[in-house]
Amino acid sequence: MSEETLAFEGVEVRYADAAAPALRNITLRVERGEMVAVVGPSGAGKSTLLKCSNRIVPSLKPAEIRGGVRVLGRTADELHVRDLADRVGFIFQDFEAQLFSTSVEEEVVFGLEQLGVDPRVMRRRIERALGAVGLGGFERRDPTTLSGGEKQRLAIAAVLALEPELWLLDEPSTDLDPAGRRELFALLARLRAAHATLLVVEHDLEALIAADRWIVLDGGRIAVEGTPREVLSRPGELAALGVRPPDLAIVCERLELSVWPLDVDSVIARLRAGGRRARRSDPAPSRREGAAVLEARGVRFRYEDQAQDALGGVDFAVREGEMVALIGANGSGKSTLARLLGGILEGGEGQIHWRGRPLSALGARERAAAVGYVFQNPDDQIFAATVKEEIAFGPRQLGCPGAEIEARVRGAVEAVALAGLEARDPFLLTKGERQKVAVASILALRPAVLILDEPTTGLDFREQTALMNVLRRLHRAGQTVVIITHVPWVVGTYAERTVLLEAGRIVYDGPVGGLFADEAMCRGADFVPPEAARLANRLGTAAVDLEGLLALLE
Amino acid sequence: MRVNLYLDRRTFLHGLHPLVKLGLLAATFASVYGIDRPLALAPVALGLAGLLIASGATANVRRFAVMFLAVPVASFVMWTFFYGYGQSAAGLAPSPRAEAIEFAAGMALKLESFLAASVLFLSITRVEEFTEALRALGMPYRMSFAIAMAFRLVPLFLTSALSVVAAQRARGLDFSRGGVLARLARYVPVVVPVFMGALRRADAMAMALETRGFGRQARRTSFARSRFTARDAGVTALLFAVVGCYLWAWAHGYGRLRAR
Repeated sequence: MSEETLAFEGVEVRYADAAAPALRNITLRVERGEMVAVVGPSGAGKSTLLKCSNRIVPSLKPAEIRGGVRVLGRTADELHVRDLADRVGFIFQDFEAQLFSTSVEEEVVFGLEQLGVDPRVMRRRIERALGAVGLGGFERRDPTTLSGGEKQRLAIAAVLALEPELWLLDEPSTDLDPAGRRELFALLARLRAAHATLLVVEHDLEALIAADRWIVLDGGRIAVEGTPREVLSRPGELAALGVRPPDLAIVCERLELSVWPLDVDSVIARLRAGGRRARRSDPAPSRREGAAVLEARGVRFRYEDQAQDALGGVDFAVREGEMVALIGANGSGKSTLARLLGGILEGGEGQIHWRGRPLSALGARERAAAVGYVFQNPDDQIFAATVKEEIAFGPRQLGCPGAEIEARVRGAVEAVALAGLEARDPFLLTKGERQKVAVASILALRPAVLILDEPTTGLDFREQTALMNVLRRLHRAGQTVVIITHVPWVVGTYAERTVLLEAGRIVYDGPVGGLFADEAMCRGADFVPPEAARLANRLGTAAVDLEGLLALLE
Repeated sequence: MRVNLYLDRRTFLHGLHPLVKLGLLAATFASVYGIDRPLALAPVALGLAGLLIASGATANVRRFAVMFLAVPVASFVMWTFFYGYGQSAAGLAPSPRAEAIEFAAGMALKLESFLAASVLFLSITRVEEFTEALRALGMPYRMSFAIAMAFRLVPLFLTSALSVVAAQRARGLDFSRGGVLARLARYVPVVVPVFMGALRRADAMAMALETRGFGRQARRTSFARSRFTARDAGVTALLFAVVGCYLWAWAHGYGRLRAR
């Protein structure tokens, strides 16, 4: 008989100040060596499920728990989170928050010391853990100098050294670029091969195909449960629950194909076996008719204390009325370029021009009317007591009269579909709503060019779609939009033109379809086109998104 | 932006036991504190300059160049005029100019030595080594861990504050306009997000600490970071000798100025 690692029996969890339970009637059993993926929209209860499993809830986050939880054969009622530290490892989404030390080695040592591990075996455990995550030789490095992917791997090494039996991973890939994600999931595969039990909360379903079981939560309940194959055979059900199904699952459902494993090669084989072909199509050219409004000429930039240039001589122009996606791996220079274009960063060599004038020569009001910059984290700017006050802040700084402020706030609220929430406290809104508040507060400045730094990070599929649809509406109304993103389907579905950066240089600038068609170039820059585009490439046609591909197939 | 000063090198000084590094800092302070004459202070100042070069910490000295330059200027401006006021025979007249200049030079060397010793200590000592030394001196673990966390969090909060400032500037906030009160009021849109972010981060860190067993064992074990070697014993003996000489000089009035 298989060995139980974790069990929930009719569990209901209600936080102290919450109107509704975070989890309702959860019954679940996870066997030793199993990998279980937990998916669902924001607020579905995914993190609560994980935090109940190692007693963060209620040890550190007070909540009323009904029903029974058993962890590694022990009834959880009387356990504290620290009692489980040697047997249950927890990886958080925010890799910064789980690193406490000033060197990689010290980070791994921390838990070993806390748990009273014999100092004679510490060296061996450190070497083994760092070796397993590919950080051997990094022992003396300051964790703050590591890339996002390396930081997350270090967090995993710090837990790995404790040799836990059960791993709980709460959206571990959210802040990672495609290369970081690939490293992370390769590592999880190795853990799984070593018979670790994994419970993974994740939005990226394509990365979870290898799991034994998927649990889809909705409103604190288990809405769907089954093997990935069973769950993905009904992709419409996932989409209805606010979870983005993989492109290939939708293609197979529409074409009534039963394919497993669900990867591009297998789908291609089935399509060919069935004699199906796709209509030929060439990548669509990007619109180039607009005049250049914002230009970078020969821009070179190096951060203090860095040995290499973040940007090494970049020429780039944003044209009026276009929607551009800046993409590239972490450290490729896309945020630096966007910050220079937005006037957030200054210095370096070369020039940034706004309609032929140096951007730096513009006064505050002129600059605000030229370029608006929305930061990745909306919480870096929200401070006011109401949504309306938050959005009115910018126009007020520009000295707009009262009636104009009212008009600007009204326009911005309508543009991002926040009507009805004006009097709400922005701190109490969901992350997706807070992101919309951040966009609205910049829109109220009425900038000609809107730059957004990874606007979909941390949002679920519904929130991502809602926000991107807002941007599409604005763009169609004439707004020039530049987005920085790691999300391939966002690029394919919403952008007209894409600029790929690698090591501080632009390696591609053109239509999205042209980039997606050149998979070798994408690989070189650590970017993976969406499944729909890869499938189209293999079929000898061109599509940038799922709808485009389905139109060619059907 | 790099906030901490530690430089990851493999020099003789980096390899010293944390207690010896702390001892070096304490010895500098103890040696120069009671001494006034520049000639008597010069060996310590020169020694520290040599150690800064040997440890590769001159990069950090450059970061503090303004302070290193401001200290002698301020010292000469202040002590040339105010040294010994009220202690001369006339009661109010300043002391002889030559002695005032000597005192100013000595004070400048003394303050430069304090600064140089601090930069040297922070350049060669990891936070964990510092707290290990404090624990070796009897500080409770939780207190030393709080100090280590403060060192870790300061750069994070500073980075977060810079990000918030940039975000609010992008919305037209101008910190340079208006009077003092108006400028202070303009920091509210910065302070609130930084404070809220700090609370969230503290909450997340507390969870992460507990999941790694923080506070689980009454008796923690300690990783063997550093061993007290013959080299450490030699340096310690040298430090005792230097401090002993300076204390002896101080006790017998050598190296001190009359009017002090």
